[in-house]
Amino acid sequence: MADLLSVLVSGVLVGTVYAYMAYGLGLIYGVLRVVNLAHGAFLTLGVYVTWWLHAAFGLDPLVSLLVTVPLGFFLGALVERSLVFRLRDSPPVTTLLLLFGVWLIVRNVLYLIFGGADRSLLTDYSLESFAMGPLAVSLPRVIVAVFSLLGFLVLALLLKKAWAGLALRAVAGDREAASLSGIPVNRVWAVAFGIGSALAMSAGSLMSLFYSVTPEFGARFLLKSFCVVVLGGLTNMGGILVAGVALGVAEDLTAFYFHTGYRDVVSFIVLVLALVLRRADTG
Amino acid sequence: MTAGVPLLEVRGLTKSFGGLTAVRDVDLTLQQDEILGLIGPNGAGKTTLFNLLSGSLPRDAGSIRLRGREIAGSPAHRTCQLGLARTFQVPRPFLSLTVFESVLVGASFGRRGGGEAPWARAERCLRLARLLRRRDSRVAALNLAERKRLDLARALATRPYALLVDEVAAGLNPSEVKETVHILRRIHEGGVGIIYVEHVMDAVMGVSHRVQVIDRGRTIAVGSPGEVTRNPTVIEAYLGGSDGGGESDG
Repeated sequence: MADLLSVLVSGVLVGTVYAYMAYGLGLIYGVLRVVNLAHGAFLTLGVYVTWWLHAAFGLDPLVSLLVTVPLGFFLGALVERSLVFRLRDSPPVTTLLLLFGVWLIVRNVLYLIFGGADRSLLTDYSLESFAMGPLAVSLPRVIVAVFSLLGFLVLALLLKKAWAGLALRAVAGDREAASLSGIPVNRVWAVAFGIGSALAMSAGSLMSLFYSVTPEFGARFLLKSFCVVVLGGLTNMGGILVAGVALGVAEDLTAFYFHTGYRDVVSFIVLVLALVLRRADTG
Repeated sequence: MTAGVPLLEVRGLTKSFGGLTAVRDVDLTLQQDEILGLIGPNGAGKTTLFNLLSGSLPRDAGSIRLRGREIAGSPAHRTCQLGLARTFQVPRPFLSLTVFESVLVGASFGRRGGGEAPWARAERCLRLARLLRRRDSRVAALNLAERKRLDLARALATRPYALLVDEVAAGLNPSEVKETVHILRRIHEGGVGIIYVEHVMDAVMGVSHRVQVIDRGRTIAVGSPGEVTRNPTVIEAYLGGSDGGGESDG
């Protein structure tokens, strides 16, 4: 019983970072109607930058958020301005392929520089856990969950209360009506892409605490991001949080009852089911 | 504001799509404190003209001066910030926003200044459009008449000098038309010049000071509502062409 409870708690904790990692994908789709396959690139860049800052300067992964958030925003806005924006009137598959190209380039540059070996980032508290009644709870997972929830909260407030959030939601609703209400849509697109990429890169920072660092990191978690976003409802923050937690729990239960090898299959199955069941409202 | 300079002055505005000239060498003047009706058979080019004025479509030739300042070539958001706003024939509400938030979009991003907080202006415009009690509803829950009034409120909240109103009475029942026209008058009384495209003749003839008639992209008549309805060229255009009876403008 205590084992099962531990598994559930751990699944919930991982699920929050899944939601945090996936939200940028939904935000970019909502505002630009672009499927950002470069999301995988930003996730991977996030873990590598964090790992490198730790290896070279001993910087704590949580401190490296101060680097990955602004860097992600800048790189995302740059990709939007220099590439995506040029294809704004072409069919969706064109931008999808373009961004897939961006991801391939980033992945292969990382192979070139760092090679394909798995690396890991070990901090003083990486293996710490504490007892909560009968449960053993992993400290890094708790920390990551707290940061993810805080990030989610800040973003929700920004979208709901702030001036910039109003612009983002208006452009997501109707780009022409937004521009005729005085909103510079081009700038909003760059900002949305920047925020989405900052979320992905900083998610990489958080996840470097308990996943290994490889150029394939993005591939694995891009699929999970898709799964969470499709299940949760694209730009629906509450839905994405629930979907992230559901995926985290489902994965940990699968690993617990069957085999850890099946963990990554869960997201595929959920993605297929979600697409079949929800296909009516994904447009 | 210098006396004598028209609020909006359009000269030689032209736009072609392939071989079709949708708007041909159109001149148009909107004076301060004026409601100018803009009518014409279906496909006459009225909506294209609005798209050109609001910066949604690039023009081929011509000048557009707002209070003496050339605005042709400005992108749509800039045109709005300079003080020329528009509403849509089919309202384009932000479905995921609340009624208040939709109007707040206009109040936050439209023409700057005014010394009034955006939320206060949004509330004032909602009250004028008689939507204050639906303030916190989702836009998706509004009916057509309410959506049209919301679109007016959103556009008004951008603090326009001139407002382009596209078929705000189309599809409404007579009492809704009356209410909407009343709101147009109130907006005008607040010091906003209005160009009003409409197929519902009672509405447009009743509220306009002058009427300009467009057919096949050209101006065929300008004058008071009475003059225009007696003009033989106008009668010919309406009888000879399509009926123009409240359908949408292609």
